[in-house]
Amino acid sequence: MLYLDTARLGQTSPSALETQVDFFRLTAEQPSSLYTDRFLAEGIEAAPDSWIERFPGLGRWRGVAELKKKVLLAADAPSGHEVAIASRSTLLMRTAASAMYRLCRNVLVTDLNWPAYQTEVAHTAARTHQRYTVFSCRNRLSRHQMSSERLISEITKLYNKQCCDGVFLPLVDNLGVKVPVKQIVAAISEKASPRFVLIDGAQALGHLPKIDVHDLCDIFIAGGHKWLRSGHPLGIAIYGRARSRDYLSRCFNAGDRANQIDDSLCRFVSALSERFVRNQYAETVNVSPLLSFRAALEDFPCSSQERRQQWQHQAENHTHVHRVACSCGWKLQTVSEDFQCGILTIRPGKFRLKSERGGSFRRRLAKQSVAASCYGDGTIRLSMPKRILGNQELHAIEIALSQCE
Amino acid sequence: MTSRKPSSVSPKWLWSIPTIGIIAGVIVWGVTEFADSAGLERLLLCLALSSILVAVGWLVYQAMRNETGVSEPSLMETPLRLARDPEVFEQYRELSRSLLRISWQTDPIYREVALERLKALMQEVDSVSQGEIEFRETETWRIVYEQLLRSPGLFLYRSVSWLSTDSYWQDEPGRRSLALNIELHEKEQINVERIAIVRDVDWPSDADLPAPKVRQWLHQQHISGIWIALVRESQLENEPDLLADLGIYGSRAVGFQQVDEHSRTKSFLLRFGITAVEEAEARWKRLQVYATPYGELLDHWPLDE
Repeated sequence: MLYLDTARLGQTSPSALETQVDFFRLTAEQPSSLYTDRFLAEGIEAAPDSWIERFPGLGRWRGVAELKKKVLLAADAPSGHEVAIASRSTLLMRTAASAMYRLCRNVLVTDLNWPAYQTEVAHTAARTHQRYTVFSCRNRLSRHQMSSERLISEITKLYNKQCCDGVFLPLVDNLGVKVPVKQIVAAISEKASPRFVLIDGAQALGHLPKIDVHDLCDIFIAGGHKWLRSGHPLGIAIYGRARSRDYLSRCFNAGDRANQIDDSLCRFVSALSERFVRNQYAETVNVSPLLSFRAALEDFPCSSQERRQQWQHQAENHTHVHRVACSCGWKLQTVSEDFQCGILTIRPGKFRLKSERGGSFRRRLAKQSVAASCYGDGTIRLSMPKRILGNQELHAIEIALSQCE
Repeated sequence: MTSRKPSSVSPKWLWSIPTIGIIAGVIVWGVTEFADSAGLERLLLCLALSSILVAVGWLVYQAMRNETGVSEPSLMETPLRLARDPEVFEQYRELSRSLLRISWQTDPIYREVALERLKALMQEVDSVSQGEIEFRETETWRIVYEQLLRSPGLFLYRSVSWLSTDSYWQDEPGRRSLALNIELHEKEQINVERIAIVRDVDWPSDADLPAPKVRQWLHQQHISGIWIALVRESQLENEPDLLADLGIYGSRAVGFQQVDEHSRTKSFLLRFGITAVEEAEARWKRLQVYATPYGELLDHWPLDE
């Protein structure tokens, strides 16, 4: 199977798979071990020596503090930043939106934002009697009518005209538009620095070779289950900018009683990080996502050189798959080169009935052993692998797309 | 002293419109039924229609006149108008009774003192009637302050805190008011924004951040998500009217506080009404030009603590 689908749950990485299997074996062969608590808090070193031989996949777990360090490294964030972890990124987004609207009166969003996150922001705005302003650009971007300079200038103009004081932007949108967030925030800040900058990095973490927005954003939200391939859904929020660090620590670590995150994993991680005395009557937590996330990070390259190389491979694949798709009569849905990344979005050249699209495309691609995201309007999203695609694989894509057309 | 409270449009005027319509309809029907010539018929029809238009126009004029309430009621009309508001009418009766009792006294010295007192009282009543309520040498204004902040429909509270002493709002009543700000802000009931005017002695021009006592007061609010910006007192040398301690309660009212050297309230003046709010908002905007967000200062000079 040629896996080109990272839209929701990415393909589980080999290390994550091994750790998951070994953790389940531990729960079957040695349930409720006296050492499990210590193992979770401090890592494999706190477990009996026999564990590493019997469950080698657990050797990657070295405690929550080490996991957070590893996350910061993978996200190119400064080492002093903080990491909040929850079983669902939507819960982190809810807290982030709430934190944002305590400071902001009008937040600028774009129609490139993930709809579920956009809804969270809209609900929070309504609940707190504040506003949000939508900058619509998706259609113009897909018609190649907008350069990055124009996008930056129009967003800045709207931001100032509508007296916005906060921004919520995706770094890469779900259809593969790489948004020039850094330049946008810099342009907006020329007049006055936004009170709050919230970045959705769900499609960026593990995908872009470098994430360079941590010095300008207050919260960066992402997940471990897409491009980092941890196998279990898991949300992370990275924050640490001096102006908002103490405030957000209260929001994410239950110091702010009015807005505690309703997530057992988040509370569990906070308790482990702060070395609280754990309440034995607290809710039972599924810790498997934590372990597999840590293991998946092992498969993610730390060196920037290796990441750049993978990025080049993705760019090369992008060019080849684009050529193949065009030869089959497909059109590029995504945008000019300014906004391109490792996601290629294409749509059929000819008009088709809606009923023929989506699920049917997915089935036809699967017949050729190609996994991709297919949408109801006929759009197909292909996530480029980080290794060079061979001729046979390109041929399989060509046949699969011809059969969809 | 004039009453500025607009009287409501009486429903009886609204009922007269269909009544006039029915009468006019009957006239038009009668004319068309019994008139002999077509010319006379048309003339009467035009007269009937124009009279309807005049009547409706007059009604609209009356309604608008009532709405703006520009007319001052006559002496006889005053109690009738006040009777629409039972609570105020009761006060009117009490006041009238007291005035009568004063007028029955014949001692000239008593009358002189009483009239002086009345004059002072009238001045206060006059300012209350114009939406201004003043509290002097007392912290009891904080009760009204809490009522305002907790009132439904209030979503934004903007405050300018002039930290004229380093113990500003750090006594028990001040701490309670600050705790109320934080509680309501954290519960998302209201959004609090604050610009703090800091004395140069507490924030010298060569210092990155204000002195610890002031900074702690600001930081406590900052970590609760209250947006805070700072201005040095000396920055406002050329705009002395901006040196004030005020709070803008949504679009409802504005409060001005004056404190003594121990940060105790000398006076607290509450002004209700949109005009007062608009004036205060204009001051807020001017003040914002000089203000630096506390968060930006932290970005440049993070706290080590």
